[in-house]
Amino acid sequence: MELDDLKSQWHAMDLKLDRSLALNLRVLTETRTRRARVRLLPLLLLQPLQLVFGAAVAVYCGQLWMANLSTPSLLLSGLGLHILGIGFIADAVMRILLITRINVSDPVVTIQRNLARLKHWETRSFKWIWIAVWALLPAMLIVAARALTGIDLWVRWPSGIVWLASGSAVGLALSYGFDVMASRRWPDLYVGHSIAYAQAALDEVETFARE
Amino acid sequence: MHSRQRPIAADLRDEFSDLLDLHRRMVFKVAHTYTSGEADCEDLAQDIVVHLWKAYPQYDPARPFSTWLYRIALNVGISHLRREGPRRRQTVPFDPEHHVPTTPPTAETEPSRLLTRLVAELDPLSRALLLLYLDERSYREIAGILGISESNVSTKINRLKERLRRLGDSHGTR
Repeated sequence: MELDDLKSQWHAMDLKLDRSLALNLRVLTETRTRRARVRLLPLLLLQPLQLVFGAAVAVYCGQLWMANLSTPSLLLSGLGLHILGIGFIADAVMRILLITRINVSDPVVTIQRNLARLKHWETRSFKWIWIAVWALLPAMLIVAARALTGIDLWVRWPSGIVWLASGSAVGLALSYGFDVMASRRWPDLYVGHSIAYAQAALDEVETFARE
Repeated sequence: MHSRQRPIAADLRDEFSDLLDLHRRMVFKVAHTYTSGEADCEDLAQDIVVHLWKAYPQYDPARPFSTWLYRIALNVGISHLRREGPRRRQTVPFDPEHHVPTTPPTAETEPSRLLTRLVAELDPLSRALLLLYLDERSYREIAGILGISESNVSTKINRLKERLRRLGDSHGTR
């Protein structure tokens, strides 16, 4: 059997397919255009929102730690959240850059490479942000208390902060454990969100693009 | 090739619908290549149409509509397959012979099975290459749609032919 022998088979299947699918594309065009616009909204809104949120955190926490250089709790908490805010900004900027490189009418390999890079970035940055949020929970509480009531929570309630830090460490360990367990127990559900899968998709595109 | 003035928005939808009617089989072929059931195939075809319509205002009428359509449709199909994950990649793609009860068994059944098996074994980009080749697109057009060189297209087609021979041997088909 040669590949060219399959061409007639392909055309026969094509005809049958055309008959068997009753889908009226003309009607579809009329009804689906509104949905298309709605589906674009999250993509358009999410990144600027993250950018604004990251900038607000970075500016507020930057001012906080610079004004409290002699208070270790506020200095370290402010600095930690300042870096997290910058991380949010960098992540949003990178996503915007990767998204704007995607043009649906580009050649297939180009767009698949850009989509694979976006997915790879998303899966990696999500895990880093998840780790940072767990690790910085005590800092968040200290900064929130300072912002809302003006008190230094580390001075007022040191044991509570220690307990929260311990809880953060346990939470981080548990979420890591769940991550490992989920990838083994539900690989089909989990694989689309894993770094390894995103890397494999990127590798697949690069291999195809090479001769 | 469609050389004409861009119509105003009110006429754009009619123009798009007319073009889509002319090329509807391309949409179905791509949907068929990346799905494993009739409902799934229709869903993907609908998704492709939505993406085509979204991109249509940017379509350059000086360039072939079929190339533009294939690029978008294949990207939507490949992304659909990637979203579904590797479990779905292993499933056998939709075979219309199994969905048209009035179709009598013919001598084409074996090649049809072989084609279905071959498609199922291929990665999403190679499926796109096979589809374009079977659809008798020139190497130049395939290269333009996929974004690889013509020599790369030729190399990969030869590999596909070799793969099909091996698959045929393993199924006892000459």
